Amino acid sequence: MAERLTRRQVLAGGGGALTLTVLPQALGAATVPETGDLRAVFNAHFGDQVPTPGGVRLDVSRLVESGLSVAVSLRGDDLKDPPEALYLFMPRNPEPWGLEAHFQPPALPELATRIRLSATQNLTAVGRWADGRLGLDSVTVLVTRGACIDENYGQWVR
Amino acid sequence: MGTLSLPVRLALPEEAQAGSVVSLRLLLQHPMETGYRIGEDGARIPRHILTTLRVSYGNRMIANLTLRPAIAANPYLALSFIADQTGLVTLEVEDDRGAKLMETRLLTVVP
Repeated sequence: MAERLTRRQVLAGGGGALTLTVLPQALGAATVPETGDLRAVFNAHFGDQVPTPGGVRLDVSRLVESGLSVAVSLRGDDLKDPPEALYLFMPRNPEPWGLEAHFQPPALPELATRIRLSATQNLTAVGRWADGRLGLDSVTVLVTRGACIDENYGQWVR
Repeated sequence: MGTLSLPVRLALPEEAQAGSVVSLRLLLQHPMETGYRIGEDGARIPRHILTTLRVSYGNRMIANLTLRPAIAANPYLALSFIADQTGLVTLEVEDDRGAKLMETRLLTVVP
């Protein structure tokens, strides 16, 4: 009896711990921008400079049913200090560079669109300022069905 | 070369107060074929995407977008700007096969 209780307690405790460790990551509650995948892409776009978190804001669902059409919006945080360009990168798509937008006043540094995501990944928005500063925001988007495997849309290579 | 004879749905107010934020929403009909898919005949379906969207307002280029295959089919794009003068808002869209689309609207700015 005592042994059984112990086992249950252990299981319950273990299960709880598992939930605690997995959930925040899975749901992106504590999203840490992982730029590792994007190092080569950043290098191609920004040379030696590496974007650091901050300055831009990326809004997207953290869990999407279909990667075929995912609503996203990105913008510069501070209207008084607007970025001159916004970029959107999908590190696990066949092509990680997804969008580039250059703005001039009186345009506001913001845009919304719908994108394709081939798999769960850290969607990353980068802002570039006229003085060369770079800022990023990153959101882990869980994709239950990627853009590459929908039978209605043929089959993808890769 | 050709003209994109695509239905373009453009939502843009005809009138705006000076200093207010105007939102411009655009829905285009385009396959945005990525070039990665294989068709029923087993051959790769060639890429066919919109590549560029330019917005000008009162003879100033205010937004210049480069679109890539990651943009979903039938692209939706929303931008915004501050209304500071009465003028033409012009949209230019291009795809990678040389097709072009131009759409112009007048925005009247009232004090």
